[in-house]
Amino acid sequence: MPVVDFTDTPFATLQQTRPQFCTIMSGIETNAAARFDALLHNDPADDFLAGRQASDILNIMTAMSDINLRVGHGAGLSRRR
Amino acid sequence: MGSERIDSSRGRIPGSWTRRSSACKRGISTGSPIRSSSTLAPPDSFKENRFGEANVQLTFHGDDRKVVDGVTCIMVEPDIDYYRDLGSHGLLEVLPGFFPGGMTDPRVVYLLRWMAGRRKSGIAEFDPPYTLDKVGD
Repeated sequence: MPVVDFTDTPFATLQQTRPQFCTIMSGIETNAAARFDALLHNDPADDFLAGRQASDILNIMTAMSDINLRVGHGAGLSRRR
Repeated sequence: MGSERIDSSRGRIPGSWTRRSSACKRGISTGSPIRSSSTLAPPDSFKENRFGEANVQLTFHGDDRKVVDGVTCIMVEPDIDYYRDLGSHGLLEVLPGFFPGGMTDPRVVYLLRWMAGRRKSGIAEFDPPYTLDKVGD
């Protein structure tokens, strides 16, 4: 399997290149920068567990950034209580 | 969605998820909702159907709410599976070492989603902010 390179992925860099990602992560976690940066390891000794989480987050947010949700349209994105 | 239409003024997703407006024209989020049988807090799930592989699935937990910057948000559980359906993976599955055991590997998701996008016109290149480097010869 290929090795993941997180050179351009630290939170401070993402704030310049993908600011929406940082907005979302900060909305979920108050200490988002430190927690995210702590995941940026690709150490074979940990079987890619830390890097896997960071890569998952980035994959999902990248894919999500190309998907529109029909907010305000009443077409079925959540339920009426 | 029948009688369970949304009150979108209460359940909003902030950030870039609502940025683009042409998704429905491209068939992105028009799949049928996947319903839970639970009567307590059934989530609503929607799965992207653009690609044969690496589609996004979103599960909305409307009862789990949090205010972010003055906006009431609901919990969303995103996921990317390898395949849209069992019939679409015949070729890739036979490649040796392509699928490591255990949970979904984001490196495989990256490759599948990138290839899926390349096969469709009008799709932006899948370009997450990390790179995959080849190892060995």
